Amino acid sequence: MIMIELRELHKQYSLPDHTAIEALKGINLTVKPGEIFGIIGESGAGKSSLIRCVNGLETPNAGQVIINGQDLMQLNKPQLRQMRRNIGMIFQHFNLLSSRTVYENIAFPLELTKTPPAVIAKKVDELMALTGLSGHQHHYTHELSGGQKQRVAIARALANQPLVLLSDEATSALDPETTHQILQLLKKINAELGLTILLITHEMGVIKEICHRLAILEHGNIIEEAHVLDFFNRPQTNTAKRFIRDFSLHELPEHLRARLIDKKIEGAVPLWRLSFLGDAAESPLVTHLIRHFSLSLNILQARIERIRDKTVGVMLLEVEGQPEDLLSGKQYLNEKEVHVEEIGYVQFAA
Amino acid sequence: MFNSLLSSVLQSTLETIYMVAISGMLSILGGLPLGVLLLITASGRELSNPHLHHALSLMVDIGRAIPFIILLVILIPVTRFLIGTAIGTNAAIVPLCIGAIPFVARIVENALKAVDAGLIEAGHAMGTTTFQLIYKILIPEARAAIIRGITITLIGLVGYSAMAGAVGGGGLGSLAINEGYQRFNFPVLLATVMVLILFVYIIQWVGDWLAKKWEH
Ligand SMILES: Nc1ncnc2c1ncn2[C@@H]1O[C@H](COP(=O)(O)OP(=O)(O)OP(=O)(O)O)[C@@H](O)[C@H]1O
Ligand SMILES: [Mg+2]
Repeated sequence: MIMIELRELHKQYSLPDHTAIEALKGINLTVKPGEIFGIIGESGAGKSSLIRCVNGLETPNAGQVIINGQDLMQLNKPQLRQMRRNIGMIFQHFNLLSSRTVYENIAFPLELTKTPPAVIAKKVDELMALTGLSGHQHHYTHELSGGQKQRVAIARALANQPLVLLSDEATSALDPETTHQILQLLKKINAELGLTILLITHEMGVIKEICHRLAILEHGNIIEEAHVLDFFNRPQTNTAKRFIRDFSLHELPEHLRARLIDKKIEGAVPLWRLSFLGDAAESPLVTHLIRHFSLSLNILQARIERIRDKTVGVMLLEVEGQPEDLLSGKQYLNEKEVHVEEIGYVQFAA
Repeated sequence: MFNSLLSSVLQSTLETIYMVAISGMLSILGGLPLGVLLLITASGRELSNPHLHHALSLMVDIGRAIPFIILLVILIPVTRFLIGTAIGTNAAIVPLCIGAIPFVARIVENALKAVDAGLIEAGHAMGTTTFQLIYKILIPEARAAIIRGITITLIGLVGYSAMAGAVGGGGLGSLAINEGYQRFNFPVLLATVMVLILFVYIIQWVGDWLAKKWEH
């Protein structure tokens, strides 16, 4: 069973000077029903172009977009409009109608399909309860916080009981706490309604918190695709490693980040980030490293982290030793299914 | 003396209200669809049609370029054809409309253009038809800006209607010129000016109130 399928998708934009930009260079992707699939990439990678092809806001130059068995390219305009009503979409800047109240915004897609007012009222009430907006029906959007606005947008996107929800950087304009709440809401909707979610983001944190699978988009190509856990433990491409590295740096305590350097210089020791699935015990690892590889270790941080619903142990170590010992230490950890990543070097504050 | 002054001012005031109200209403009825058409026929928009767009655009700009006093004169045959006479309040409505419609059209076009592209994208994503996009998203979102623009147009119409009055259109303009100016009747002149000021003030006040109410 496949909910969204992209086949050899190409998208070009022609610029006023008659040159063309190739935004998507042959994308192949499948998303299963009930899955939360994340696409991550840097600015200009083609993320928005990709997601906009999925609901036909953008017409691909070649390739197919198949939603629930229906090829979008085969549809005429009215059929495409009909199809879009089965695909909800949320945006970075919410895109709510300022001339309408919360209630009226959520009712909007139902009005488009000429739903009787009584049915609309019932549906909107349900959606407001689901998204935690009860009591706000008469507020105008300018009276809401960013998080509440995105809740309204989510409720609106769900009004026509779509098969798929598309999210274009839906949390990028929100602070970390609100981001977390919105992601939890998406996760709840995915679980309760079985809704398939395709989201794009440039934040690893979003992927880590809610996605089942992800793909990395770079210069219009998908260069890596994986289940989220595998991805964090066994990233394949350099881009993937860099994403994870930047993400761990981001999590690093401030005083450490200040001391971190890229290159090995005299008196600097490597900083390792170890990650392993929750059940691998950490203390035997460390003891073993010290005993058998004559490495001296300084544990800077050890904690349990959640990726999706799995627990993952994360340790930050300063590691001092001969190059060959460092190498065999890494090999040993790899054998133990522990992912090791050298995030940089730290200079000892003598 | 005083009574006849009062009754002629009252009579002219009603005529002016009549001219401004009818020509205002017709200008909105004509200018609104024209403005929408200007917007959606632009290239890259919903009903992209560059030839039609440029033709409409040219028409609107010519309409705005001709000074009203000249429009009054060159439209006399048209007015005769439509109304049967070129004199009187009904006749004045023709040039007033022709003068105001292009303004309203540009005002509407610009107000709609200013609507956040994100809302249009959201509309398309929700499967709106072009018609639904216009009347459920663009016009409601732009209504405060449209009202502000229409307020300016209506105030302009008050002034133009006085001008039309001076050349036989009736209303406060003709009273001011024929009674006040040519017969040196200073109280009449003063009264008409006062009423015109009051007019402008009321229109602006109502316009501001409506725009504010609709601005979120
Ligand atoms: N309408 C357009 N016309 C011309 N070029 C475009 C258009 N939309 C996107 N592009 C170009 O296509 C490429 C991919 O853009 P896209 O918006 O899909 O990237 P993105 O990954 O969403 O970036 P961001 O994270 O900055 O939103 C970029 O080089 C961009 O400049
Ligand atoms: Mg984008």
